[in-house]
Amino acid sequence: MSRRAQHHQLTWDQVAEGDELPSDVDRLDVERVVATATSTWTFFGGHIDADYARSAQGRSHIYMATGPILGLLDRYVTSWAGPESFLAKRSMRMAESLCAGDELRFEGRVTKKWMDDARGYDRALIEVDLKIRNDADKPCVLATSVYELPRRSG
Amino acid sequence: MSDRESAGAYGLCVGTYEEGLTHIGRPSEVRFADLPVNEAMVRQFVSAVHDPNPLYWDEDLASQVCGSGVAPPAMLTTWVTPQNWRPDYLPEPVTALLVAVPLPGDSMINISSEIEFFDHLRIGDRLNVVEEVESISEEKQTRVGTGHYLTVVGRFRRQSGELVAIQRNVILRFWARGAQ
Repeated sequence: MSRRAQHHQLTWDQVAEGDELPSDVDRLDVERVVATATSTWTFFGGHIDADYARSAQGRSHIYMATGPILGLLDRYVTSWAGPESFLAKRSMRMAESLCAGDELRFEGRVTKKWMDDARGYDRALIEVDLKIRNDADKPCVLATSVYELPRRSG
Repeated sequence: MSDRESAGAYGLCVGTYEEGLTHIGRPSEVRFADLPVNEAMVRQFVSAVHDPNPLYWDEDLASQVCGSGVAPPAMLTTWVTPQNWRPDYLPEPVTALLVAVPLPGDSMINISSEIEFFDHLRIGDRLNVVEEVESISEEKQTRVGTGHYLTVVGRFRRQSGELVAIQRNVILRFWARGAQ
């Protein structure tokens, strides 16, 4: 019995430039923000202390640390493309913090698809543009990720 | 550095812009991970992030797909993040470069981050990182306060010396409690 048959995986051949990723929604609560910050050993006031986040940093509440935000972005793509998708490169820019209480909305689009041999072997790559919006519909996180996908037919 | 002022929750080294500039291109000391990449911390992270990727929940599948258990790429910097307390902590522990660069400002936020991966982070890897400040901007007025943008490059290797990832971070150092 093949375990591979048990998980969903897109191949490079199945993906086209312009493809939209299915949208996703995630509600952030206080526990979630604290749990993600502490799981990365990021014991900074902005992520765990609402008084500090509000009075010293002018946020509405505690906000997510960078590592966990990257985790949300990666989760969004691999949930669509499957676990055999290897993250080759990811650039991320923060426009607004993701605060406790926010409902996050994820969107993504395939912007490029190509074969690359810069590392001395052929890689089947795709580039996806990613956005996380908050309640106020503001784009908070803007990212571009490059993934290597398996090449299989069907 | 013991006579220097430090500020804010991160214990940032405070200095002038000119002092900061002298740190450009100086490689940091090698910072070693306290712990190897391990399943317990991976599980805590993916559980908090709500990441259902079976690579982090199914060891057999990870071995089949990746050749070993693996950690989420988003945990890269976690492995070299120092613990807040330990019994043998030195009075002046080796700190992240971006904390040690003298600059005006008692706070910092991450503006952008670019990471290139050459391999998976594998269970059992003992990572180390060498950082270097690539550039520091002139003083800028920003939404959160007045400060400087720093670009820091980090090269992450496993114990064999193999390069696993290169990170390029842009960080804003600024006065959160009002300029001095």
